[in-house]
Amino acid sequence: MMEQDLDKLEEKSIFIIREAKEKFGNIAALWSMGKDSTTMLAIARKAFLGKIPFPVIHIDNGIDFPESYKFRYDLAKKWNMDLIVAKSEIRQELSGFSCCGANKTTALKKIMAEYKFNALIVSIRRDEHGIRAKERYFSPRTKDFTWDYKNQPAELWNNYTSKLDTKGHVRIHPILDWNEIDIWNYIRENDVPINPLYYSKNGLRYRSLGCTHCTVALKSNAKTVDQIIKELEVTDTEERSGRQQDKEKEYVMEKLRSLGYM
Amino acid sequence: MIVNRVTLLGQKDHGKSTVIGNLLISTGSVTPERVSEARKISAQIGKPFEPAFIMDSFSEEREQGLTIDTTRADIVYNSKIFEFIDVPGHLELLKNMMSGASSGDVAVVVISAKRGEGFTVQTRRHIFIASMFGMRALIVAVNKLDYINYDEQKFCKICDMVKAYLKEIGFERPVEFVPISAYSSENLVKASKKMPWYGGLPLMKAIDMFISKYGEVPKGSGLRILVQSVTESGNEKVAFGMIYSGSLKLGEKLRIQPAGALTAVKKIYLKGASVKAAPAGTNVALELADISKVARGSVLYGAEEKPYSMGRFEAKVFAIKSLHRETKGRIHIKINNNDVPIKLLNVLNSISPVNGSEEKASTIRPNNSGIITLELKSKYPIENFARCAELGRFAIYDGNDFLGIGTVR
Repeated sequence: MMEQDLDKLEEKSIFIIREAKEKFGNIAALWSMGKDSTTMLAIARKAFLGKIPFPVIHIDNGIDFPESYKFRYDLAKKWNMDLIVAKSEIRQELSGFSCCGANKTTALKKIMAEYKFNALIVSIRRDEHGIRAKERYFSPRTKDFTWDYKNQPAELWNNYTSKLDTKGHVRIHPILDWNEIDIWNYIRENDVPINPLYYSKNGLRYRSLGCTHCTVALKSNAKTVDQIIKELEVTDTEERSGRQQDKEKEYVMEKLRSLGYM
Repeated sequence: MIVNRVTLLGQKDHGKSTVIGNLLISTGSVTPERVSEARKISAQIGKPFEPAFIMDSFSEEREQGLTIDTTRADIVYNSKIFEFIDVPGHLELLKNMMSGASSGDVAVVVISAKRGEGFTVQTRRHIFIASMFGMRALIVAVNKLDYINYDEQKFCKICDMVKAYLKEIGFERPVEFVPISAYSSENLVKASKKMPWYGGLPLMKAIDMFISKYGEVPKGSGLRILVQSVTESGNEKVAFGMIYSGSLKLGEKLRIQPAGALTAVKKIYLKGASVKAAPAGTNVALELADISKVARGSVLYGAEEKPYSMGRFEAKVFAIKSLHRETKGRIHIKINNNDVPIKLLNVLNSISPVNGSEEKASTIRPNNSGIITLELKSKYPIENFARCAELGRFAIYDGNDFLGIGTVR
């Protein structure tokens, strides 16, 4: 893959994040500790002169990798985040669709209700999945989190959905235009701190991060951001090929997203 | 690097998603994994391989064989990225089509040459809307040539119809005609041997050539900054804004509209750092000599510049729902994500997007165009669409109900 113009991508993301913050009084951002949401937070810091101006939610199912927890602790402190940890219940018998659907989404629903957030910044990208490519930058969700994807609102130029008559919320997607390689190039140019799980250890690394139960590492010797970029320039596998919920059954992602998954 | 955006237009079933699907495959812009997924799903629902499934990802889209909502995909060709925007071709989905087509620069309209398909009313609407959005050049891809035995005469007949139509609606930008068969990848990336009579470029080459010639144009020189918000930062109030055109320098005198007051730039922050100047297309944070008249929705102009209007203007519209005289202040325009109530809307005439004909009218019917005059309830800086697109285009709403789009005349 080739890189896009990082400056342009960044400017658009800044515009969207500022617009969302201005339009929604009670906004939060999801942070999975992965490269995308961490990059989004790095952009938000630039947009707001050094301070992330909204709470950052981590949905914690208790089975993330230990490296991630340390990364969370360190970066939350360094960037002075207003961090909300949403504990999600994990049931051993569930995996994939039921796990991401039932556990993560339920935990998020609880937090959204508790804090009465009316907008949520989610760092999805169009190139990750065909379903995500169908998203608007501002995408309304109903009170029970459903995504009415068959009837999305018009989104003309920067006229985004910024009001809701329902008790739902609006998902904000500031990095929808970015591709995987752009994220890495941005990380390299801006020295964005990154979860160590992306770097190769004993010949394996993670390309996309979920929790310990449904994320599979890939064979790689890339130990630095430069090496990761080199690897991506020639790869012919999908970024999320190590993620169970994308494949399990056809349309799992569509079902998950229509039910409120990220 | 600039973004090369290409919008696909045209009637449903004429092959837009198939064009993109096969371009993605032939240029190697998708992973084999995604292609084999589309192959698997085609087999599952008992269809031959459908390249459109790479774009159409919703289960309903695949089962019913249609595109419900707009989507995008990057095609890498000639060491450049082309962002292709697919849009639905159904009449009821025109709102989704507009959402996709609003961001394209160069458009490719796909017209099926198959008997009974041809240059339809819906395809004409698509071209009409794209030309309102400021499409700078159009490539007409005449598709399904395999159904007409790659017959040059039949191809030319469609080209002539399109040329006549473009004349009717007054579209005077560059146009190119390319015969293709999208499903069998004829003349998509490589020149087809089945059409020796065609001397032009294959589709992807034509797109590349058109984009480099007519793609992105330089922004006008007059300074215009849209203010998104005014917030406290430390002890100072700062304005967050996007520079739509011109460039901003430290110390520059600015006119705040609609307030009309003058001020000067004390400090410019770009991407978090203090700078001496900032170009068009960037988001800045500004400290000003006097920020008291600046609010969300203000536009900061160079001191010598003026808006075209602050409250009354004429616009060309495309109606999704019927538009007629309004005096109650119930409906509003949405411009730069600000809702400005309409005090008075008057319909002057209606324009047919099918043949460009104009007639005096008091109502613009759904899926038709026309000219209206608008009077806004509160002042808002407006520009001619041709002079500053960002301040000259808007959507019309009744509450959350989308009524149509407009561009300022």
